[in-house]
Order: sequence, then C-alpha cells, then structure tokens
Amino acid sequence: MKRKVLIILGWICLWQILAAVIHNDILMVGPLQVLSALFHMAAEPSFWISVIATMSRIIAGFLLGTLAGVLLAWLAYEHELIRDILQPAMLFLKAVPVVSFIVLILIWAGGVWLGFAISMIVVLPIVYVNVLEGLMNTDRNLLEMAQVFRLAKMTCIRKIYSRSVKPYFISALSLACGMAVKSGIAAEVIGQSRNTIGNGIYMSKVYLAIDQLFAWTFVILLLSWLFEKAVSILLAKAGKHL
Amino acid sequence: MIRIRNLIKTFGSQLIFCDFNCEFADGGKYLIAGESGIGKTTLLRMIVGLERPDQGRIESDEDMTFAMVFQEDRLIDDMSAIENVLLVNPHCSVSLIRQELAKLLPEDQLDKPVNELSGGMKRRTSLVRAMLNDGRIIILDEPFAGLDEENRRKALKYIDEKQQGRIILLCSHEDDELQDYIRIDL
Repeated sequence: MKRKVLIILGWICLWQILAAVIHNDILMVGPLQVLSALFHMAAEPSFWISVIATMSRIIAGFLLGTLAGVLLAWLAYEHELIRDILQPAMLFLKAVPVVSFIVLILIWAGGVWLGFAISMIVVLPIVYVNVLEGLMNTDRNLLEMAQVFRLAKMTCIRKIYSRSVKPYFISALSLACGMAVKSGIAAEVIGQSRNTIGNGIYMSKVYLAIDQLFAWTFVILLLSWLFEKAVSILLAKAGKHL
Repeated sequence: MIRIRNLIKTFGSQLIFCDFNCEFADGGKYLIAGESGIGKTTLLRMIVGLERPDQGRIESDEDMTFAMVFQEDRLIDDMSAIENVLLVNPHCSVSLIRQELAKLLPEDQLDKPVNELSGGMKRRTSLVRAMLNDGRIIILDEPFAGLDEENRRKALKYIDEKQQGRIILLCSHEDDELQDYIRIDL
C-alpha cells in the first residue's frame, strides 16, 4: 500500500516537473494548477448541474441497457429463433463505431438524449453477450434435476441460472460501467449537449483552457470509479439474496 | 401403474430397446438389472421424460410425478445438504430435513457446503432429497454407489421406510440385499 502511494506521488512529481519544463499553460499544466481549476469549477453551480445532468443520463442509459441486455439474453436463451435473429443485431451494435451512432442520434433526437442513448447502446451488447454465455453454460445436469423435481421457473432462476450467470454478469457490468461513462461523455463532446460534462470539455478546447480539460478529466475518472464501486457494492448485496 | 408399450430406442446405429414392454404396479419395488451399457439409465431417463423413445408409449393412469437419485449427485455445490434437500422439498421444515438427513449422515456435516462432503455423503444427501419429495414414482439410479456395507444397509432401510406405497424403480450393481425387489432384466 505504502509503495503504491509512493509510486503515485512519484508520477505526480514527474508531471509537475514536465509542466515546469514545458512552461506553457496552453500545452501543459501541472497538478497544482489542475487542482486550483477544479476548486474554481466546483464553486460554480453550473459544474454540479453538468455533473448531475451527465451522470443521470448515463446511469439511466446504463440501467436500461442492462435490463434490455438481460431480458433479450433470456429470450435468446429460451428461443433459438430469437437468438438467431438477435445475433446480427448484436454484432452490428458491437462492430459499428460509437461515433456513427453519436452522429445518427444527434440527427434523429438532438443532443439532450445523446448521453443516455449512447450509454445504452454501448452497455446492451456487452450485457447481452455475457449473460447469454452464462445461461448457455448453465449446468445441464442441474437443469435436468430441476425438471424432474418440478422446480418453479423462478426457483431455477434464483438457485441454478443465477450461479452460472453471476460471474459473466459481474464482468460485463464492470466493463460496461467504464465504457458507458467514457462513451456517454464522448457523445456529449461531439454533440455539444448543453449543461453537461461533455460540453465543459468542449468549452475548455474552445478557450484553450487546458487546466479545465485536466480538471474535467479528473472528475470523469473519479465519477467512473465511484460508479463502478457503487455497481459492485449493489451486485454484492444482490448476490447475498440469491 | 406405469405401462411401457412397444418401446423402441436407438443410439446412432445401436438398437438399445426393441419392442420393449413392461408394467410397474403402484407400491411395487423394482430392480432394473442388466450389464453395464445395456440401457438401464436410458430407460429411467425415458420414464421421467428426460429422453424421448423413438417409438412406443410410456403411460400412467394418473399424472406421473417423479423424484430421482441420478447417477451423478446433482447437488448445488455451494449449498449445504439441508439447503439442497429444502430446494426441492419446500413443503418440509428445516427441522424435519435435519432430522431425516441425520438418519444417514453425521449431524455435524449437514450445514457444510456439499462440496466439502465425501462422495458417499453426497450420495446419501441426494437419496434423502428424493425420498422426502412427494413424487409418486421414485427413480433410484445407482443409489448405493460409493457407500460401504453399513451405509448401504441404512440407505436401503431408509428407502423402505419412506416408500409409502409409491413405485420404486432402482438400478444397482449391488443386488445382494434387494431380494424383495421385483427383478426386471434388460
């Protein structure tokens, strides 16, 4: 632990030295300037409005994408035809660059729903593919046992399927959390959605305020970490009830 | 009563059952006998509906409900013996399950995850799970596998105690103590 802290401090010192050597606030700022910019930004109500607006849309998209991914995976598991129909759609969602979706949604729905929609589009195929994989790998012997003993579907889901799907679901969500935040904010930057973190980053580019760009980046990292932690805590709590 | 009529089953090019007929009366105890690979497990799987015959019928006057000891234990590894039995017998109280399991297993093993139990203990857990179930037909596929003589005797006594007029279909290589079972040779 102590060694890790020392390593991080070493990197921060290197960053400060690099900023001092370059000595150009448009190209590079040091950690102290970033901290100062962060305090100034946090003192403005618009900062908090942006954070709340961005995260609420991304979280909503994440939740809807997760829910849709789980439901579609279950349908695909139960019906081979649905699985075959969904396969190219999921491949399409995974293969098409996010930026294409961003522009398309921008044209169709404008910037307000951009973070929400992109976060959902990114999360859905990740959750779908992983949950389906978990379902397909469920122990056939236990399912036969459940069939012979006439176990209720809900009991099978809670006691048999959940055990198989759990590791896939957890790894899908931990991957999807970071992806949702990064893609959602990238969409806001491109779409210049008003009162969002993405718009803050865009403005820091327009005004060449690199200290604000770094400060926003730090905020995104922090939010992404907090989001992932919250999801893993919720998953651990939910897992205890299964 | 279960009636098997004109049953035909093949595996690839191998004919396992050719026009097989058989009846199992209510309250009867049957030993399905035959050398390894002859189709004992396949017959049991067809009776419970896990496999379909190619031709023929398996029928009963009433709804067929089953309880089964599979060739493998098919317990949920991270659940205790009590939880595994409770899972398929939600009508039983925990105290009743504990009492029943204690007839065949050491009491201090009942709350441990089953993956920490020996093969014989798992076998006995799956036997209790099946015998406590309210299925009308009890299917026991090698229920004594891995049990020593004393535990085999206890398990057999337990099956008799819990039969309660139901049909028992049992496959076992250990047939010395099964003289009161009606033998069906495949």
